Amino acid sequence: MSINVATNENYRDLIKDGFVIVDYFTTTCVPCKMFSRVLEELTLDYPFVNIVKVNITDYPAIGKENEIDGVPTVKFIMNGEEKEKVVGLMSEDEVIEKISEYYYA
Amino acid sequence: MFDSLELKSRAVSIFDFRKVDFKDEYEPFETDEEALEADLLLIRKQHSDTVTSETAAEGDFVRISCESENPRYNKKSIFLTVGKNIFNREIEEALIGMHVGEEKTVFAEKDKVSFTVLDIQRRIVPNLTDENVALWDIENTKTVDELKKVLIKKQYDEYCKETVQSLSSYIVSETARKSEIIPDEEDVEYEKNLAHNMGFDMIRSMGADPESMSDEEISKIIGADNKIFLQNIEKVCLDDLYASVLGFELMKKSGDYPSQQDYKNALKEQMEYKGISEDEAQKQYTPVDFFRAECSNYCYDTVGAYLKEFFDNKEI
Repeated sequence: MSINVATNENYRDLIKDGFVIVDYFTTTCVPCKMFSRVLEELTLDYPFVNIVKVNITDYPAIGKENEIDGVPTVKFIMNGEEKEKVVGLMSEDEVIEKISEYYYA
Repeated sequence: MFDSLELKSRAVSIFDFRKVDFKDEYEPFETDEEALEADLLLIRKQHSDTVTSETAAEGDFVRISCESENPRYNKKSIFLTVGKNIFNREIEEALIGMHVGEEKTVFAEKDKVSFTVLDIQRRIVPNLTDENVALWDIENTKTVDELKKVLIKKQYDEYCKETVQSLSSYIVSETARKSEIIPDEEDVEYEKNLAHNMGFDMIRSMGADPESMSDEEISKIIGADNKIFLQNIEKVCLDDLYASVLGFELMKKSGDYPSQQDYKNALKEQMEYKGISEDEAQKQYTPVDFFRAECSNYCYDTVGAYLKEFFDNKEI
């Protein structure tokens, strides 16, 4: 699994192919830090899933465009199509459930 | 400008927050051994190498092609981590010991699935030795013991942050209780209104509609009793009013008033956060609102700095 950091320029390219987990976060949010650790651990066990991290403080336009009202927000995207949006901290097991549901659909 | 503002709520007498006894209000620090082990394993995995393997084993990253009438198991190329059983337990069990190019047919629950191994990658996790730690060069650590000390210090810093936060609330609340503060009715109304809006925003962010749903429906979605949830927010906001009065008194002593630029920055944040114009931001967040919030922040910051110094001077 690779972790890519999104900018206004590369965001669309990063989410257009395959299965992608997008993590919208801010640096001051404590649950975001906890979720970041969850994703970091997942990257090591599931290297075939791509993760995109969006700092919505640095890139508010991406946050607005994706209707991010709270952080952390996670989107599960398959080939550019949003499958699900989850607001709030997710556990490792919950993310794994989504990988099973969408990556292996 | 802000050095001439006054709060409507006022203090008749102020208790010295440094005299609040908090020694029974926090748990002493203890190393979380489980978290430490998890951190060390994560570091080892982060420094692992992936090599191609001929035979699949548990934990390997394997790419297969599979055929089945069930679309979940009908893919030209799909990756899985053997033994995690997210894809399918029967297939993943059958994969163990298979070679690249080998084919097999199994029943994945009731679906007949034929699959071929296309590629096998294995992660080689390095051992935790002084030699490896020196190679990894994490925060200049050269030995396992040094690395553990760094990780324990991080745990301690996190513990301090959380403890300072909860103790600050306790100290401010105790200081307010022991002081004589006369809250202004308008200020109380303002805080109640703020709590109402904050509560509704939080409920909306959890996917419920506070205006059209019943208390019962909202409680189910937010996983807590809606009325108690809103009452708690109101309590926090009213506590904040007392913190503002205490902060105002501290500010008067230090002369450390917020500047006009601080207000401009706060307005900018409101504009960006809410997507509103500067005029609208000024209407929604007046200098008095800003000053009241700054006084409260000043109170918590002062108490927080005092507590931070206390914990910084403690031995881990």
